[in-house]
Amino acid sequence: MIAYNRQSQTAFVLRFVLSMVALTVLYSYVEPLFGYTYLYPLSFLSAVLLDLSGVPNDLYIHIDQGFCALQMERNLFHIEYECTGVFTLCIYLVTVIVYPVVWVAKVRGIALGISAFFAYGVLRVLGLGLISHWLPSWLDFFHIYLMVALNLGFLLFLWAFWVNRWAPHLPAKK
Amino acid sequence: MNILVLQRPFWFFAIFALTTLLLLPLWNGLADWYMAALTTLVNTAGAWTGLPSQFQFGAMPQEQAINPGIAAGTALFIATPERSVRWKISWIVFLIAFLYLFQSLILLLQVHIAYAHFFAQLSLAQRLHYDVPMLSSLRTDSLLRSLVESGRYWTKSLCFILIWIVAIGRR
Repeated sequence: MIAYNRQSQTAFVLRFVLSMVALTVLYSYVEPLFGYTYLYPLSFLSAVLLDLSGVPNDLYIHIDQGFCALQMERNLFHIEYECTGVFTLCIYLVTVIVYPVVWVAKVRGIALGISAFFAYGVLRVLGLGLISHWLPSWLDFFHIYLMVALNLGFLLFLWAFWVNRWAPHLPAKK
Repeated sequence: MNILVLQRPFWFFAIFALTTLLLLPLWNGLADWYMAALTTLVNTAGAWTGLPSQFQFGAMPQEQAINPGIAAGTALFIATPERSVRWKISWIVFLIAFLYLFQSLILLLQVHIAYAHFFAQLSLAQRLHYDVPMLSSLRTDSLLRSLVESGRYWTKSLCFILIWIVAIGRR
């Protein structure tokens, strides 16, 4: 196990905080870009998988207003940016970008993160759709509580997976 | 920095998910106390900074105020391997105290921003009827407002990750 010294930890935290502040400001300007590239494909795929799982639905696109509406037999889901895990994805991307490894590893981490968070987002919506159909009384617990809480663990899981397996460390500076 | 302490990420995530699942009902029971404490601090700070109104207990859904975030943050430390029970308890206490102060600050800023919007719409003559709060001179297009508003989705996760990263470097 490689132990980084306190100095590199402080540097990482500083880079992370500054990058997150910059991203927070930047995000409000670039959010519409995620509409057709992330929110819509995620909603579309979730709707298709729900259909295949025996939950018929209609998907309505309101990207200009920041959401897709998934009309099911018993429920109407407003799939917004928050529901897609895009904010957690952004935090993950910053942790990868500021982590001290070679750029090839960072690119691998970014690709891993985008695809993994997309799959995770689809599974979340699919899971919630199935729960709303088969176990509607549990919907609030999963939607408001558990799925929200799991985001943090998934972020660290993915980051740790990438650091341990896909991120060869830079040689220490002399 | 020592993220490599999580050498078995799947195992970590499984313990994290299970712990979160078990903690949620516990935090549900504590939510009223937490909200009462939060309200007291926000109202005291609000009165000190000249807010003309009081934050109402129950005005915000409790689940948005406490449960998923705190349960997840607590589970994060419990699921971290290779650390002592004392380390875990100390950092969980620190995390809760930090979140309490941080959430109070965010709530206070949000109320001030709402008042800044309100006062910006009034004419000068109308504004004279009000004793304008100290922080309500915040510009409605200020960087602080932008950070508070757009950062509300990720500030909790961000704080937990930061605290965890700092904690993991200390035994």
